[in-house]
Amino acid sequence: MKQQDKNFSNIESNPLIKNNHWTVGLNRRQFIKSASVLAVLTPLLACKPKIIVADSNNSSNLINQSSEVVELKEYIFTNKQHKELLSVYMQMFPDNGDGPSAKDLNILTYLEWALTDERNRKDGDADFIKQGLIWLNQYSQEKYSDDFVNLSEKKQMTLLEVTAQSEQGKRWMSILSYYLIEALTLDPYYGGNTNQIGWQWLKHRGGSPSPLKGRTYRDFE
Amino acid sequence: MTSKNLECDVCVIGSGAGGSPVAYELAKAGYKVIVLEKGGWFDEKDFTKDEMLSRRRVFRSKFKDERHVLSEPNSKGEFKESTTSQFWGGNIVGGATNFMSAYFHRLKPQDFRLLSTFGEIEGANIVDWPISYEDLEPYYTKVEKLIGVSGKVVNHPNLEPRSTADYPFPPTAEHPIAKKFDKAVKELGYHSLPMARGILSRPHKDRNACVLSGYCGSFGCETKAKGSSRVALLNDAVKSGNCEVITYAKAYKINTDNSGNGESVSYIDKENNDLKIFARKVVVACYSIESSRLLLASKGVKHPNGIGNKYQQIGKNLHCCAGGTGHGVFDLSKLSEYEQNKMLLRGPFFNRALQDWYTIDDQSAFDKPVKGGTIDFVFDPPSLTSNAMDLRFKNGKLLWGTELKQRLKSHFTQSKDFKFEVFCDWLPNNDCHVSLDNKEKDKWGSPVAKVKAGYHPHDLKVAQYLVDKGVEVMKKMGADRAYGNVWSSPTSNLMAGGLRFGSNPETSALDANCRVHGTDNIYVTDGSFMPNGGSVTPTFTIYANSFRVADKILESF
Repeated sequence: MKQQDKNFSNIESNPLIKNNHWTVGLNRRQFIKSASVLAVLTPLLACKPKIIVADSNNSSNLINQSSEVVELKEYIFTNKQHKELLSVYMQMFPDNGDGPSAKDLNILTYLEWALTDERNRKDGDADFIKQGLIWLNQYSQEKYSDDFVNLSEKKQMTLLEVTAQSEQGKRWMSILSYYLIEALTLDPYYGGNTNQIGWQWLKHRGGSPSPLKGRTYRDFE
Repeated sequence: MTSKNLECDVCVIGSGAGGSPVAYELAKAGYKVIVLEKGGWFDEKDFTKDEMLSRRRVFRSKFKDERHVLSEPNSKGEFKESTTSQFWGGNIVGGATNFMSAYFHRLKPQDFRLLSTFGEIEGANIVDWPISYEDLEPYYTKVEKLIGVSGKVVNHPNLEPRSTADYPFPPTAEHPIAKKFDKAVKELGYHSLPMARGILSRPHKDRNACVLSGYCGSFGCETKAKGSSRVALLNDAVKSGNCEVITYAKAYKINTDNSGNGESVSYIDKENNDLKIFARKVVVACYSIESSRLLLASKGVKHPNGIGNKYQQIGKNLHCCAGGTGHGVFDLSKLSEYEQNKMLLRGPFFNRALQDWYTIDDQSAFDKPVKGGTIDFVFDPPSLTSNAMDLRFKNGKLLWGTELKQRLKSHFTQSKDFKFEVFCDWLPNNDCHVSLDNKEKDKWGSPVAKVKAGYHPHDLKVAQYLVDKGVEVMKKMGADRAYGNVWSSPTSNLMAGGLRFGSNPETSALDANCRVHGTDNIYVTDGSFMPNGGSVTPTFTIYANSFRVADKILESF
């Protein structure tokens, strides 16, 4: 069901960019199986979301834990990665004067929390997202001699447009947009959709009772 | 938690629409009943309106624990097997009734006489039922009162005979679209029917009326308005002191004695203890596929190929739900703000149906009258996240940026999609049945069910005929876009048959009282008994038949 949601079918590679990192890189499954990155992350992946030990060296001022259910004391991504992810997300869901932006949706907090979910951990999404950032920056350096976050909006868009045309790039952006849509549409209790900003934009009225402590979907799994 | 073998008068396997009426009636009559339920006991306090509950299939069987093997025809008609499908309704006390939409149509007399009314269709295993509509009518009436059915009976050409003038509860509140529908249908010369629902429109006993949240199908009900078997029957059965529900109990075998009768039921409890319930009567109601599977797996001295399988009838003549769906999409930008708000209103029900073509007598489409079906005009439950996920992709391209935002906004705020669902018979045939898979096992080590789901091409013709009618109505209502399609794949719910009842043991699995042929005390009371599903959702009929069989079991003591 989840894999269907993530919808990786009908992906075509673009021969125009066949030599970029997205196409020559490992495919997602191979990547997940690769030992080097996975071994580094194994202790983190084994953690339960609510008992993660605080790590003062790994905090981020881009995280906003206003929800009761989201109790993150250690982050999957570094400060640098948070900034990179936010740059990507602001292109994928921009502040264009019509509806909330990715930042308004509290996307980084939601992403951090969502990636502590057992199923998402098993899918290896965190590793893939991190690897994608590396690839994106490599590509950015090759093309513009600078990191992605330092590029102009226009250049960032250009890179993402090329990225979306390769098989692995499209997969990576699909994963990011999967969590973006969740941050936009799920109950604010899960950390995104701040003050129902996504629901209000889409004229959606949430049901009652809404998720509450001890009655979230994770409590039943 | 009980962790010892127990004795009772009646052991019921499964707590959904098929099992609960028996538990309720027998417990009320003073017999000791034990219900084995594979899932847990969850209730109103657990049923938040959280789309993640349905997206994650919480309260359903876990895919990692038990898969089905599905063999389905491809476009060339070749059957291909996969283990990526599941047919679980609800792994929870009350089963799938917790999550049903509760469209409660009765069957009609011709559904009981499909063969004699419409004749044979080559390649279809059509039979008449061993009982008539008149035999079941009192039990439909009973269900309307006990489960709680709301609606309004209106006279129309295909109205089935009724012993009562109307439903015991008035209709639930209606969405403004219903008036638009009534007007269009009248102009087309059809008959608009208010749809009966197994949902309370006013309080009854300890149950509240529906609060019109709009979160109905796929969601558990937090007010007890929806007539789940747990709310309407099992709570009372347990209160009687004669009924115990053992949760997280996986029944895997019915043990039979040397004369072939049921002696005990073996199950694995939550702590993995292998236990038995010794019972005078055994009632199987695990959902059609699983009931066939359990009988096939229950081999004994008198039943070397599974209980009642002397003539290889166990698991045969399974049927899914044939039909299709369609949509009418209204462009809200053409409407005033007042009209827009009316169209976007969520909560009240659409609750309309058409049964003008329950029998299709149209020589431009069929050379003789054929069995048709029902078109239900409904709302899907809110599924904002799932819909938005789909909207990310357009013709295989991933959308992002302003293009994605515009698409989301347009879909959710500038148009309104109304839906219809078509239900017609999935003709039983030799390519639609249940067997035991010889490789795949569930987490308890039992062979899983292998479902072969072949369909008859006649079903698609009937479904297309009805889908076209639905599209016609949507267009008449003023939809800016109207379209529909038929389905040939099985839905994961609404399956029935596999253990059809009949008078001849060589062509049926159960007798007229739903007792397994070749046994004195093993009954099946879920939808497995149905030789054909009728052209409506089967839950109402499953409830009614289970009450009927409960009376037969009471008579047998």
